[in-house]
Formats: sequence, structure tokens, C-alpha cells
Amino acid sequence: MPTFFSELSPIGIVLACLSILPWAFFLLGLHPGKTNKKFLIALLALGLGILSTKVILMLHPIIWPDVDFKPKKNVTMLSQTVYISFIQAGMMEETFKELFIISMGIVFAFNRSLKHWTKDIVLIGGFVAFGFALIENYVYISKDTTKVFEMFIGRTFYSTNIHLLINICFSLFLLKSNEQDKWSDKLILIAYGYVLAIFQHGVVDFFLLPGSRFGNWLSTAMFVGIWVWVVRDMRKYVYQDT
Amino acid sequence: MQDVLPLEAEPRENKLNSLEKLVISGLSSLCWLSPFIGLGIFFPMGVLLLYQQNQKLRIAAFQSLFLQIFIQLILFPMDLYSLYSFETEAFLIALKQEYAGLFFLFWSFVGLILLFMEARFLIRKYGELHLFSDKSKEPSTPKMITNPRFDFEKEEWDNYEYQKIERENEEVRDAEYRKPIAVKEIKPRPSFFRTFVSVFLVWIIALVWFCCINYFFAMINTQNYSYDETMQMLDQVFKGDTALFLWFMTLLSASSLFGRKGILSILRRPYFSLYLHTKLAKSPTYDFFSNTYTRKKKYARIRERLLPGWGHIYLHRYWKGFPILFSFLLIFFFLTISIAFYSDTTFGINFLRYFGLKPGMHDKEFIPATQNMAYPISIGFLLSVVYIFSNSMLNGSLKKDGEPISERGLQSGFTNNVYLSILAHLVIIAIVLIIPITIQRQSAKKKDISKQHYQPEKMEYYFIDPDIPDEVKDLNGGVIAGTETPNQKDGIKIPDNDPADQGKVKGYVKRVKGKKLPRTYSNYISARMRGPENFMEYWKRAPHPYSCVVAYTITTDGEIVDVILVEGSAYPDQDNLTLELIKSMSPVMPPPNVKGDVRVTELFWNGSIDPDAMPTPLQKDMVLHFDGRYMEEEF
Repeated sequence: MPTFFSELSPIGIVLACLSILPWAFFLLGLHPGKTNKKFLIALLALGLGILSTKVILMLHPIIWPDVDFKPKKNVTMLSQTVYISFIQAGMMEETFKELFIISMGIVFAFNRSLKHWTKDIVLIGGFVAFGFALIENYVYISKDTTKVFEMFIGRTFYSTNIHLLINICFSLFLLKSNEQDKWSDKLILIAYGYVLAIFQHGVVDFFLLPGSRFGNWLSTAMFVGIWVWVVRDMRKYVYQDT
Repeated sequence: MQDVLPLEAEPRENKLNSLEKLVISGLSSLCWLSPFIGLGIFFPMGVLLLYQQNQKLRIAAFQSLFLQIFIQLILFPMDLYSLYSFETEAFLIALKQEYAGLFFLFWSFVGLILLFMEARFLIRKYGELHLFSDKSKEPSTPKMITNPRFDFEKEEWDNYEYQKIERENEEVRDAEYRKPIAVKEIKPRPSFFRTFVSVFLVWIIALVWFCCINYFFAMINTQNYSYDETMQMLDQVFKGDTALFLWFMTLLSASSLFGRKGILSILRRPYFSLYLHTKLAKSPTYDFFSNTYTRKKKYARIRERLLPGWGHIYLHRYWKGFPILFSFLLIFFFLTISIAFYSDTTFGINFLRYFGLKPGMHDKEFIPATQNMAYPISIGFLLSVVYIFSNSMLNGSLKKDGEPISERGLQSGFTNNVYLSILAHLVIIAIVLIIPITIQRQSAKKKDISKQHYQPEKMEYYFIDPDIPDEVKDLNGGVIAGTETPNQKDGIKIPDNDPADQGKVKGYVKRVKGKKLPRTYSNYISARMRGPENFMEYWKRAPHPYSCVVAYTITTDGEIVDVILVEGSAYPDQDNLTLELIKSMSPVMPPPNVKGDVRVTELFWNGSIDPDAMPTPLQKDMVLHFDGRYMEEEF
């Protein structure tokens, strides 16, 4: 344990915290409800987000063992990029984040008598994303000490927010499922939300990973598009009656 | 009456709570920062779409969007010109280096004119400039008030029937908002001298502030930056779009010293148009014979004619509008690529490289195919069909404008979804045909060839001379790229921040301006190499001075194999990067008119073309070849 802490980079920790702080402040501040309850939910969700990173890191070598063998067929970079964007990053990350959101949501944001999700599910979704982004940002910022400033800016404005938007989008699907009467319809809608989260993650990463100007445009356009969609839905489902 | 128009922040915006104010300020800042953090035009567009009430935020988004588009319209043609060939690229680099001061003066002068226009408008409106307002004499009027002498009837927006539209808007009935108009006070206009001095002062403040920001970024980006080097960097500040954006941003913030409370005067008209158009589109049409509907129809049609899909988006039919818009843009992109490749292969490769892309197929299949005129014609025809079809579909959308906006989502029917389907197919075609530079195929066969490399005694080399014959058909022929060095001995000192990132600096030969030389295989290889060079930041990362020699074989299939380091430098990391760079180029177009494989020996260096400056005899010879590259056919 002492070795673990001695290996941590203090600047990396500070910058990683700063990369999520502004967005966390606004999400928490604007969310309707009692302050104490909001804080409690946010802290727990943040912890679960951090835990989800740990789980993913733990399972990664088990699910995708690093075996040194040559595939029979040559693998192209295109298929590799698709694989990393949609499967390795998209499906893996989103599966665990969404599982944690649903698990915590059932405890803190599910009205059992009415059998519907409450608005707090959005807060849970957002803070699970922040927990995940905190660790991920720390890893990226500490990895390359020559580009700390650029990495910090990129992680703060882009990566943290895309995690946040994807998870809030999923949480909003849970809220939208309240409008369905049948359980089967509710489940189908939630499943759509999950598939959409993987798709969003995959598409944004797919265009972003190769680092081309054209890809960056598409990726940014998608990012802003998701933001517009999420804000509109947030106004309708979260902020409307407050 | 003009003050009821949404050209300034509304008083009710002050009623927001502190957190909401913080959100608005944060979003405004992000709008201005968007070009620097990679969000570009998209973020301000998103803000305009989302926030339709808060004028302060909308003004920030609109100004940022307008500036970014304006700058791109100016700079993109220059970028396109520099992509056309190595000569045009060298010409533009030289122009930017030699006339950086002139560009600086030009844009500074544009800024000065802009400030004068702003001052003129504010004096007409308020009778004074904030900079010289004597507050001590008027303690009761801390804010500037509208000058009743300002002739609103002559203002440009009286054509918009604003009174009628504003009557519909309950927000403008706010009595508080009308207060400034009620004040009857005529102020004497300031003298020309006072106006001139205040404008000049603000201009100087903007310039100093701009230089300070640049200096600050230069300091944090470069360690041990000397005064001379910083000055040299400042000379070149006007070479990028972000620098130009920063200048206008500084100018805008400085112009607020005049007392400007809202949008820049020259943008008032377009902003007001946007305001009216957005207002009209907000609600569904109830009376199809009304004046409102006629105007809405007109605005939608204008948009659709300018850019297919935009008219549908204006009518809140996003599921129809966005697929049409993206399909049109993607087909237009295909058309420009096909024209670029048809006009010149090197231009086509450079054009794709500009976007960080390359052909997704093997060059030997892709490049010959692009020489067929049928492709640009058929793509142009497809573009016309999309244009005509989307314009005709707009009539259908207009007829159904009575539909509630919340119900204008994804709808069934062929015409409602055909563009979604077209877009999906176009995306697949785009992914197959044009892919990012970093993506590459694994070579199917890798031959272990270890053949002879560069042998000076067998070579028929020639010195670079401005009198290059017009017909150069050899593999080694090419067009001189790079920048000029003053003389053979001195070379050129390459600043860290500079175009040295473009690659090698050419030496004592005279630059051949405007001389048309045939495109050759060596030129093609140089163009192909630019993509990975830029992506890997090869020249940016290279130490100064750096030189190494590598050898590689281009097979008759265009595969690059047997890449080896012939002479390394004192920087093994950079040498490895050089080998990676060569490998990442594969596959390339097969060499023309050869029966066997081609062995290439190439010098990578970032100094001048000066044999005396090279460390080894081999490099002394190699430096005199076109792009330091020698190609020989293997038998």
C-alpha cells in the first residue's frame, strides 16, 4: 500500500480532480433535490465509478489475454480500430458503468411503490461517469509528462464530458422507461439505451482514435449533437418541474 | 424603438440565480474558446440551437461562429493553393516568412477600421464613447443611455416589420426594458480628435494584449526561449487561423471599452435576421395564408437553396434535414476529391492528407481509377439529384407545417427515410474508400531481400541546378521542395516553432519559381510521405541537426519491404521513428516503367543542402539528390 501511494503523481491527482470538478459542480448544483441527499448519492456514485475502472482493469487481461500469436488472416488497422472503439473500449466500459448505475439506481433512485425511476438516476449516471473519468484522466495525464497541459485540456473538455453525456443519456433512457406500461417495453427501452451507449462510445472513439482532421470534425459534431440531445431531454425530464 | 430589439443582454437575464449566471458565463467562455480546444464551429452552433432566450449567450455564440467561418473562408483557399504542388507550398511558406510583418500590419489595420466603425456607431447611438465619458459630472447616470437624436427610422432593420413581430412577443412588454428610450437627453457628440484618440488607444491596448497572450503561450510552450527567438515567433504569429481568431477576439474585448453592451455593430443586421427567423420557426403554422407563413416559407427556401437540408432543419424536421445535409456534404467531399485527383495525383494526395486521410484502396488501383473523367461527372450528377430532390421535398414539409413541433420526429414513408438510408451507404463507402492516414493494411507478403544499397561509384548523379530539363522521366526526377537557404556555407538557423516541421530545408540552389516540371515518381513518394510525417510529428520531434540514411525496396506491387538503417545518427529513437515512417507508407503506387523492384536509398536531414555540413561521405553525396533520395532498379 505505501508503495502504491508513493508511486502516485501529486500533479496528476490534482489535474485529474480538476478535470472533473467544474462539470461535477454544475451537475450537482443544478440537480433538483435536497443538498445532503444529493451529496451522499454523488459521493457513492463517484466511488462506484472508480470501482468500475478497477473492475474493468482486473477483467481486461482475463477477457482479452495478451497472447503472442500470429492470426491466420492479416488483421487490418481498420478492423483493429473498430474492435478497440466498439468492443474493447465501448462495450467493456459501458457494460460495467451501466451495471453500476442500475445497481445503485435500484437502491437510491427507484420508487418501489410507483415502480418508476426517480430523477436522482441522472445524478448517479453522471457521477459514475465522473468516477470513471477521474481514474482514466489520471492515467493519461501521468503517462506522458511532456504533454501534461495538452492532455489536461483534452481530457477536461472532451473525454470527461463524453463519458458524462453517454451515461446521462443512458440514465435518461431509464427515466423514459417510466412512460412505458408493460415491463417488456420498459426492458426493451433500457436495452436500447445500453446499445446506444456502446454505439455512441464506439462512434466517437472510432473517428477520434486515428487522429485525422476529418475524423475529429465528425467526432466533435457527434459530441455536440449528443450534448444538445441530452440538454433537451434534461430540461424535459429533470429540470421541468423545478 | 431599437432598444427593444434583442441586440443587447436583456434585463431579465439579470434575474437568473448565481449558478445559472455562472452556467451562462461558462458557456459564453466556451464559445470563445471553442477553436482553441478543438470544438470549432460545432459548439457555438449547438449553443444557438439550445439557448434561444438568453441574448448574452447567443451573442457570444453568434460572434464566435461568425468569426470562425469568416477566418476559414479567408484561409482555406490559401491552404488549398499550398496543397496544389510543392512549388505553391514553398511559395506560400516563403511568403509567410518574408512578409509576416506585412500580414501583421494588414490585420492590425483591419482591426483599426473595425474599431472606427464601432466607435461611429456608438457615438450615433449614445452620443459618446465610454472611454471619454465624464462620470464625475453625471453621478446619477452611471450607464450610457440611448441618444434620442439617433435616427432609428433610417436604421437597416425597418424592413423587417419588427414592430409587428415584437408585438407578438410578450417579453418586450417589460416596462423596465423600455426605460432607456424614455430618457430624453441630447448629448453633444465628441470631437473627431477625441474619437480618434480613443479609438487609437483601444487599438494599442488590443495590440499589446494580443502580443502579451502570444508571448505567454510562447513561454509556456518552449523552454529557455530567448528574446530573439520569441520576437521571431511573434513575427510569424499570423500564420494560423487560431492566431487570427485570437486577434479578433482581443479586438472585440478591447472594443467593449467604448461601452459596447451587446453585439458588434457590423453583425447587428445578420444577428437580428437570425433572431427573427428563429422566432418565426418556433411555432407551427396555424394560418397558411398569413404573412408569417409566407415569410417562413421564404426563409426555409433560401436556406434549402444555400445548403440542402438546412431548410428542413429550420422547420424542425431534424430526422429529414440532418441526413440530407450530411449526405450532400459527403457527396460534395467525394466530388472535390475526385476533381483533385483528376487534376493532379500529387494534389489529390495532398488534399486528402490535409484532412488526415488517404485512399482506402491500394494506390495502384485507386490512382488510375481517378484519372477517369466519368467519376467527377457521375458524382456531380448525384450531387445535383440530391439538391433538386431535397428542394422539392421542402414543399411537402412546408405543407405539413401545422403539425406540432414535438411530433416532427422520425416518421414512416419512403421520402422521409430515403436520405437516412443514402447516408448510411455513403458512410460505408467513405470508410472503405477514404480512411485515416494512421490506418494501414498489413502487407500480404514480406520478402526478405538483402540486396545492394547505394553505391556512389555506380551512380550517375547530377548536381541540383535551376536548369532542370523539362522532361525528367527518371525515377529520381522531381520538383524541388522546401525553403531556400541564403548560401551554401551559412545554411539557415531553424527555429523550433517553425516550418522546419515541413521537412527538409533546401540549400544553395535557386528556387525555381513557376517553372513547370513533370510530376515524377520521386515527387509522388514525397507527397505520400507527408501524411505519416505530419501524423508522427516526425520533423517536430527531430533534434537539430539530424541526419541518417535509410534504404528500402519498393516491389512491383508497391509494397515497401526490407527497410534498413544504412547510417544512423546519435539519436536512436529518431532513427527508429524514421524506419517506422518508411514502413507506414506501404503500400504505395508501383514504380512506373520498371521490370524489377526498386531499391531506394534516402537521406533524412533537417539542415541545408550543404555537403560540407554532412558528417559522412555517403551523406555528402546523398544531400545533393532530389529530396536526398536515390532510386535504382534491381535486376
